[in-house]
Amino acid sequence: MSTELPDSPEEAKPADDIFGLYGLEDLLGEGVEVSVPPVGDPVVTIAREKLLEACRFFKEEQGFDYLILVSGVDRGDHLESVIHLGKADAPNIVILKTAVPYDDPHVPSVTPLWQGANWHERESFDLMGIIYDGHPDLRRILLFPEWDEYPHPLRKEFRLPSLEGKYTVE
Amino acid sequence: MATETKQTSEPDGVLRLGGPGLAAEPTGDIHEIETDHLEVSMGPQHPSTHGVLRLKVKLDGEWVTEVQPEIGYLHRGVEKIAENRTYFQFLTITDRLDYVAAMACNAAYAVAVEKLAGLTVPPRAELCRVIVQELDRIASHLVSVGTYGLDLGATSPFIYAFRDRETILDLLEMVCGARLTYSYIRVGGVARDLPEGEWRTRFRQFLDEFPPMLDEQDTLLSENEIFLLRTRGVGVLPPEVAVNYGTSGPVLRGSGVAYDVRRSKPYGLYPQLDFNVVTRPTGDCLARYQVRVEEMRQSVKILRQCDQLLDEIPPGEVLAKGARGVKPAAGEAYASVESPRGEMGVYLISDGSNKPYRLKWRSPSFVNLSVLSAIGRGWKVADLVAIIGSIDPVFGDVDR
Repeated sequence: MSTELPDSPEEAKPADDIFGLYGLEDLLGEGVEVSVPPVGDPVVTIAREKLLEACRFFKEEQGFDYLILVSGVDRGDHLESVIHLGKADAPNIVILKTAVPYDDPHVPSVTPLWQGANWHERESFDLMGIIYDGHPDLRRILLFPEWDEYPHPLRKEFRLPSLEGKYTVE
Repeated sequence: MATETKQTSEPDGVLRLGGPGLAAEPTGDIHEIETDHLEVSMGPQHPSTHGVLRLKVKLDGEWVTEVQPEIGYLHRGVEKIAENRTYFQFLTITDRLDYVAAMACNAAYAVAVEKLAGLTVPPRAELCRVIVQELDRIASHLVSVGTYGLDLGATSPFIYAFRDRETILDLLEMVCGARLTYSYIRVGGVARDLPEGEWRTRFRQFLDEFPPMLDEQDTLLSENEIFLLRTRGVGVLPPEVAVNYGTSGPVLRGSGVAYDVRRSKPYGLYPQLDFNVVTRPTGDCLARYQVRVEEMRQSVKILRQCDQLLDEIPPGEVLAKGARGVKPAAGEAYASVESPRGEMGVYLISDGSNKPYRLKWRSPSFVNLSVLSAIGRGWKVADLVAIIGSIDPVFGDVDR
C-alpha cells in the first residue's frame, strides 16, 4: 500500500518559474507585490481587497490545495495576517501577507476556500485581534469567552506580568 | 455501528460528512422512535477524551447530530513566552508542547532557528537527531495505539504497548537524562553525543526484539472482531476533505494521501534514508490505526540504517559553533518536521535581537482535531470515542 512521492527538492524548479508570480501582478494589478528572497520561500504582499482573489488564483490555478498556517503578526505600527500555502504533493510554499491597520483590523476570511483556516483564523482573532470577515464562527478559541482584561495578549502592547512586576498595558 | 458512510448535501450546498445517523430520509429503526434532542457536554474530565478536550455534543437518542470541540483548557501562552526568552532559553518550553513526542518539538524549533540563522548542523548531530526522533516516534505511536485499544475496551494491548515504550524511555533516559521532557535536540545540534557501550548493546537488542513484540501486540487488536467492528468504516475522512482541512500525519495518510514532511520537504538526514511513506486508502479509524502500526515498522527500518551509520560517521562535534548565543539577522523562516502526529511547523520572525520577535507554532494536533466536527456527526456516542482516539490529539500541542 505504500507509495512514494516523486518530488524531491532537487527536482523542484525555482519559485518564480512554476508559480507565474509575476503574472499575478499583471492579473491583479495594483496592490500586489511579489518578492522572491534568495533563501526561503516567495512572499506575496497583497492589499486586503485583493486577498480572496489571489487566494482563489493560488488554489485553483496554481494547485496550492494545502493550507499550512494562518497567523497574525504585530509589526509595531500595524498588524499583519500571514498565510502559508503549500501543496499536498509538492514541496512548494508561498507566503501571502496582508497589512491591517490597528483601528480597522478587518481581513477577508479564507475559510470558504480551505476549511482548515477556520481554527487558525479563530486563534488569530483570539490572540491578535484580527477580524476575519466572512468567517462562519468567529469567536475565541483558546482563551475563555469572558476574557476581557487584555483582549488580545499577543499584541506587543501587552507585556508579560512576570517581567514587569505588574500588569502593564501601554 | 459500522456501516457505509453517507455524505449529505445540505441546502447551503456545503458537503457535510458523517455517519449513517445522518440519513436524509428518516428510514429504518433509527428514526422510528421520536426522541428529544439533548445537548451534552463531554469532557474536559472525561476519561476517553485524551486530555482536556471538551465536546459540545447534540444528541438525538444515542446518535450524534452535531459535535463542536471546545479547546483551550491547557493554554499556557507559549507564543508569548517565546517573545520574552532568548532563542536558547525557549528550547525547554518546546518540550511542554507535544509532551508525548517532545523530541519532535525540539527538532521543529531547532530546524526553524537554524534556517533563520543559517547554522549548519554537524553530520554526527544529524544522525543523533534521526535516532532519537524515530525512537520517540515509536514511543508516541505505542501510547496512541495502546490507549486506543483502551478506549474501545481492549485492556491488554495497552500493557504490551507500555512495556515496549518503557524500553525506549530507558534508552532515551540514558541519552539525555530525561524520560519525557528531553531538551536533547538543541539549536545547532544536540546536547551530547549518544553514549557508547551498554547503550549501543541495548539499542541493538531493542531493534531485534521490538518487531516480533509489535506483531504480537498488533494481533491483539487487528484480529479482534470487536475492535474491527468498532473501527472499520467508522469516521471516514475522504482525501479531498483531509487535504482541505490541512490535516497531516497518520490522519492524512490514513486517507490515502502520501504527504510526509520527511519526504515532501526533506530535512536533516532523511533524504539519505530508505523508508516508505505509509498510506491506507480507506480513511476510516482502522486505516489510521494501521498507518501508525506500519509506521513503527518503518521507524525500525530507519533505525537499523542508523545503527550502521553510527559506525560510519565518526564521533565528533555535535553542536555548531556559535549556536548557544545565536542571534539571527532580521528576517523570517518557516520550517517543519514530521512529528508522530503530522506536520509540526514553526514560523519564526527575528528583528535581529537575541529573542524571537514572533513565534507561531503550527501544531498538527490542533489542525487534525478541527476535522472532528465534520466527521464526528451521524455516529453513536461510542463511535465518537473511537474517532477521537483515532485522531490522537495531545493537548499540550493543541492548546499550546
